[in-house]
Amino acid sequence: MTIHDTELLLQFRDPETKERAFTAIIRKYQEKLYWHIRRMVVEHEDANDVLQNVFIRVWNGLENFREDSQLYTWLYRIATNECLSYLEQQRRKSALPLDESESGLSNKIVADKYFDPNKLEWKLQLAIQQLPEKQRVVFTLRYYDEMPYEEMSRVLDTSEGALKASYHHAVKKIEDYILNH
Amino acid sequence: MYSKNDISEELMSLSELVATISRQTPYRVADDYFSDVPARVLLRLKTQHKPLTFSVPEGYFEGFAQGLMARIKAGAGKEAGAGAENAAASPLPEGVDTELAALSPLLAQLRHIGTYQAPDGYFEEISPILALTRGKNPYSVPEKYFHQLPAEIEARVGEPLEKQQGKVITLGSRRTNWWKYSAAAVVAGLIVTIGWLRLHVSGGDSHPVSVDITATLPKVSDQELQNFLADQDTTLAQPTNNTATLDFNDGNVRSLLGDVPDGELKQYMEEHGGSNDMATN
Repeated sequence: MTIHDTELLLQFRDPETKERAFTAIIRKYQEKLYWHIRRMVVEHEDANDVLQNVFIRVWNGLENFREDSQLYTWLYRIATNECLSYLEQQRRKSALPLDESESGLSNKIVADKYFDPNKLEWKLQLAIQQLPEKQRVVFTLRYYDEMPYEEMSRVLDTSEGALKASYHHAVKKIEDYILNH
Repeated sequence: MYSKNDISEELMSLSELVATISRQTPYRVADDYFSDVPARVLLRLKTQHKPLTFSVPEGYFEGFAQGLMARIKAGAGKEAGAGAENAAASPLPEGVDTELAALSPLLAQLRHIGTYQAPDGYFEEISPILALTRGKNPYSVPEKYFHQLPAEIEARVGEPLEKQQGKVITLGSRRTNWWKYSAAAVVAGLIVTIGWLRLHVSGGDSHPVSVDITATLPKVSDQELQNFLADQDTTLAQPTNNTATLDFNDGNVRSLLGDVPDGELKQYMEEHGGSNDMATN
């Protein structure tokens, strides 16, 4: 049985039930967040690191979480920021410019044990990595997580109109990539 | 509310090709990966961020400021030099001591003993002046400054941005400085004029001004010419050396006279007399 977020938050604020509530929050959202992160950072090890960082941030910040936004939205916001920071860190470590670091992500996709260049799903992943970071986030949140623009606007702090335009551009770029590769 | 169909329709309208691709993410993850995640996160929290929860005795922060003020008033600040540990331990409220005494009487006693001590008169020995000034703050603030500060900041936070803009400091009055600019312009003009004259007038040797005498001479009357010649008699009577000169160097002379045989040059020298510095090949 799934416990409602409000109930989980109440339990988290009680020192007696804090850890139990936190475990329940992880169990409830771990898969969604993992896949969101994985699509951004590609490799499992990186996704695992980022996911754990996300939940550590959640632990540290949940006491102050304001319930005027949904927990789900807040978690996605943290996960997205953590992904972008992680990618930025990786870029700085490797001292590669933005476009080359994107090709680095493509290389990671090609290096995946299950990579099949003939399958459209994999081509789609390669196409997604060609997108600028913010557009990539918008596309994956809409395409895979089916997130409404209203919620996405809260996650990314961007207007719905801008998000729609961004998604539109992303789809067109992906289509072009798939047709030309 | 949104539905999956809305998203599919939207995608179909944007790109039929992308809409037909399976939305299944091709990445894979170990089957038991998600069962371990909570345990791993909690383990990380306990190991990297230990202790899991920091706690302070109830009422710690409420009593902190009062305890510290009481200590300052009692002149306890003088003891600070004796050891940092003393300074850290003293302002804490009684609750900490009570709690520690209940847990470990030994540690409770040790808390008030500074581990690090400076020998008596140590600071005085190093520098008597510094010893005198130690602990004295030379700076002062206006009376009730800190009392009024929060209210002032709050008042300024509400001010519109225009009012908060920095004061514009002018670089000086134009009226008082106009003569400086004029003087500078005059000096600059003089420098440019003198420079131009030096370059173009005194340098006239290399670029002589050509005057078309044949064109202008018929316009001059005979009388004017006679007057001119009469004026020039004195100067013409003296031997002059005002022939036009060319800058020849040794290389030019050698190239000009290179083909002339020595015999002809000797004959020329005998006929025209003696210039000793004539270059020969």
